[in-house]
Amino acid sequence: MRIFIVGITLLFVVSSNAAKRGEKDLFENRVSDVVIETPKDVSYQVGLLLRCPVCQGMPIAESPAEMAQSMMTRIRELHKEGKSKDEIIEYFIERYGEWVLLEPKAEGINWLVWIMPPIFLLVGIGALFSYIKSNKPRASRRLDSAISEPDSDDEYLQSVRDDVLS
Amino acid sequence: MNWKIILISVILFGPLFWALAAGFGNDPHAVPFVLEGKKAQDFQLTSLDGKVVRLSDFRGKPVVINFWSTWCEPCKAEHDVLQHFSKTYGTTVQFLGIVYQDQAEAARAYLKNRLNLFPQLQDPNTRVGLDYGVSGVPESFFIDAKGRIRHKQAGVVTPQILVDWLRTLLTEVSSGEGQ
Amino acid sequence: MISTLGHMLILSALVASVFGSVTGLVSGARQNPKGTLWTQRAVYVFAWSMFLANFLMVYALLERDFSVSYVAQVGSHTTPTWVTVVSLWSSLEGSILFWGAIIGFYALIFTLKMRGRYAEYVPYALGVILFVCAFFSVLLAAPANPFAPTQGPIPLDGPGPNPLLQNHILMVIHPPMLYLGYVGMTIPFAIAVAALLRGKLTAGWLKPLRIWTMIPWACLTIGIVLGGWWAYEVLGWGGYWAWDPVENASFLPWLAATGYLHSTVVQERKRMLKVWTLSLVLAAFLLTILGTFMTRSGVFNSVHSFTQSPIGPIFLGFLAFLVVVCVVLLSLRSHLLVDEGKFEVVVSRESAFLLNNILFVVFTFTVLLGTIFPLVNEAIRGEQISVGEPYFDKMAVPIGMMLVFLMGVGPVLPWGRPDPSTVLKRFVFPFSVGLLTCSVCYGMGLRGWMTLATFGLCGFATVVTIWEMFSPTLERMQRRGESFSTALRLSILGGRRRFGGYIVHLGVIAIVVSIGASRSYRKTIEASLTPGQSFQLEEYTFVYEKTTMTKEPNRTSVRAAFNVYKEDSEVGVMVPGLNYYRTQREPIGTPHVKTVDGTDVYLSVLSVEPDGSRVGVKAFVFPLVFLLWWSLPIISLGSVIALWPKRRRTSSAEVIPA
Repeated sequence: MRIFIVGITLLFVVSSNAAKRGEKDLFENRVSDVVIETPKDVSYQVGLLLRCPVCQGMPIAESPAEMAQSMMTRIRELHKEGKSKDEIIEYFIERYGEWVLLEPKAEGINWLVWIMPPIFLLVGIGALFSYIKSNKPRASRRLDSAISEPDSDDEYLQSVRDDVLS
Repeated sequence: MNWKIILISVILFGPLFWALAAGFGNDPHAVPFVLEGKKAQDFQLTSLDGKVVRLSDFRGKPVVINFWSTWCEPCKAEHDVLQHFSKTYGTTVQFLGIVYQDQAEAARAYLKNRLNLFPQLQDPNTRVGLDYGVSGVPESFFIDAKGRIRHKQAGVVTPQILVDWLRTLLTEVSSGEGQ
Repeated sequence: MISTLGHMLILSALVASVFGSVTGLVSGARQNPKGTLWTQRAVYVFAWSMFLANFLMVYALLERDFSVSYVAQVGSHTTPTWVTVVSLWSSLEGSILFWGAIIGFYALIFTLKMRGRYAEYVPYALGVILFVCAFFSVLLAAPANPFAPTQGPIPLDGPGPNPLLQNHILMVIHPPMLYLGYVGMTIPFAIAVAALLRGKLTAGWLKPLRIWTMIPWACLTIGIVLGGWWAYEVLGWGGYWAWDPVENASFLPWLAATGYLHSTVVQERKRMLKVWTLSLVLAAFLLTILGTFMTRSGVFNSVHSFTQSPIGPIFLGFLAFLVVVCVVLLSLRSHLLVDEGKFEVVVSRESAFLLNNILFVVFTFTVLLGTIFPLVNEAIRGEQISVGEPYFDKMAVPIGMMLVFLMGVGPVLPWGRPDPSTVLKRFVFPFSVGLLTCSVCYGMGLRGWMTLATFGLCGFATVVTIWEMFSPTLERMQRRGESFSTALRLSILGGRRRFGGYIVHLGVIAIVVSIGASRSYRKTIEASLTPGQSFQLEEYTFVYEKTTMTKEPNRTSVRAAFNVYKEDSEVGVMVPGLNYYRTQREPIGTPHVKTVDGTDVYLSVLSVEPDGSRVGVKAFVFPLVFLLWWSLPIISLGSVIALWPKRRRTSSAEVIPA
């Protein structure tokens, strides 16, 4: 029953909107010359990788500067000409140097910036394990004792319980 | 003394301070210029007075391309210098102006009551600007008789820079003819 | 007149801070109460000198006294009053002056709160605080003196502050918030150094360390999010975070401080990790100084950085000095700070906390590496390269996902030696909720496995968090038969920190969801229209009506009015615009944002003909961005609950005059 009422209401809303649309046709004057972009578009993906020369470290895909807009237009043109992502990036590198690339190419010394974080993470985890190992009390002694203090998992919960039981 | 802590800190902070100290004196706003010695990209643009101009038309003599716009104060400052040099060097050197990210109307209005001896070109979508790696105005490019970009002057071009580069480029032309 | 008076105030602050830092450290070493008294007086003098100096500068700005160089630099007759006041922190010298007022404020409150308590540590802490104050006073006294008289003839009018700062009211609260966070890190630093100098860290001294870290941490968090909001509302391109060096500079201390807030839980409970925890506190402060250096040295290129100034090398020297002091102190004292607790098994709450700490440290390291790598590269190869958004995104997303995962795993794991099968059982429900979230999102047509995985992890972490928030309440109701409201009130009161912490977690989850959705499912459209024309993006239709122009004293603003419809129903009128400031060619946008059913419709003007006959616009659709701003009240609420003082009766027991 309730669903039915909701359905009726919806129907009413939809039809009233349709009436509104009849009054004023929103779409009669639609411009067709538009550029739509989503994260799946090559132009956007390339634009995210390129640095805007007149802004401050921003990718051209996210900069309102006129220069960035011209570069985006150029990317779209090159893409339409059938150029691949790498070719388009190469086009800009030829003109502005590696500087224009917002993520350094993984070559030469630039490898460092790519491999250091994962190495650091692995070293950290390794250190963590060795720390736990070195800190562990002799396991054999503890094995036969209660495996865990089942209710002591949380200080606060414990205090609640103590509070309650007392 | 816990030497482990000291060692780890030196490894971590040593490079950090070295890099930061090395950063002094760098201009973080500078955009590198990588086209030096490369062939200048040919272009075909329409001038403000409607003529079609190609860079390749001027092969065989040095070309100075000046990117400018009416909203840029330093560009206005160097206008007279460029016009004066264009007059002095006459036909031996070709000067070209390219209006960068500006309305053609505004540029025409600006030039109306001023000395205007060489073609001023419109660059839709900054296409040529991108080809030359422009990152702001004013920027002036010195192209030799063989069509290679020899120098980019980012910022105001002084008479001294013009004299020096044009002399170099013209000497090359005459020595090339002498061979 | 104002110049002289201001300079005198700065000098009095300088003298007080130098004097106080000496008496503080000496009386700390000798445990001399008289010296402590003098140190406290030095704090009062310093704080009041700084307050007065700041008031004086604001007065000079409001009076447009261009004989003061700073006013000549940022003042203008045409700026509205609020912009004039805000100009105090809009440029290098003024921002350091403001810094002085904030540290004065913190130092004052800290001194008052600590009066008669922790006598063993407090003089050291005050000495350290005043030492840092002395450094900034030196900067203000000479190389960055805001009160310096104007050179040459006194101008009749000034240029006004950077137009970007005049464009949005958020500039009134974002920088002070950030400063409260940034500058406030000095206090935990001083507390930690006092513990190191004293050579011991008692449970009693941990409490002020925690509280005085949480306060700046909360301010920093809010300041960072507000900065994102400002960028979103002003820059006109829908961006809120660009991994700009200065943004990174604020993020780095945040990461270290967040790491600390987690490790301190283990420290307090298990009496372990003392050296590690102190190192994180020290790191957080050192990173704020590094950040200040990055913003003000002229070495980094950023939207937010101040113009090049000679104080860069001074800052670097100061930073190097602090690092050396910290390292030497840590290595001299580490043997005194012995861990008392023991680790039991690999899979436990402790190890989850430790892993979390490793992740925060790796995150800090990565952001720092990316930020300074262009300098490294240039020094070695002599070539300019950039490290920007795409790099940081690639690094931050996996680390962030691991952190969200831990946010869900940690609270489920018991402390000590949990029994594996019980633990596994506890994961069943939250994990299935996570999977369900993923599949529901997939069913709604969302794609992109990283984004879906993020949503799934967030679902998982949310369930765990909410469960952990209310389980004590349920426990009370069950065991004691209390009503829900009583049980809730009492359980929150009994575990403020825990409850507040989980609320903050929810705020963080909101941020993660928002970032994931708005970045992955954004859509944009660019169009050029004459009045009456329309364009469509997704289900939204935008009809261009007209343009209006208003002349204000400091700018001319143009607003283009659009009627916006979703499907066929009207959403309302949107009036994005451009503002032309007389000191700058490129206009600054005022985009218009409307949140429609959880999705932000964002309209930004690219170009406009003066008569309004044609307008170029870019429209964006960003789902769920509103969650990002909602995180602000959530995180604030959580922090307030966590910081809410206990009643005297209980607190008296905790004040162990160690």
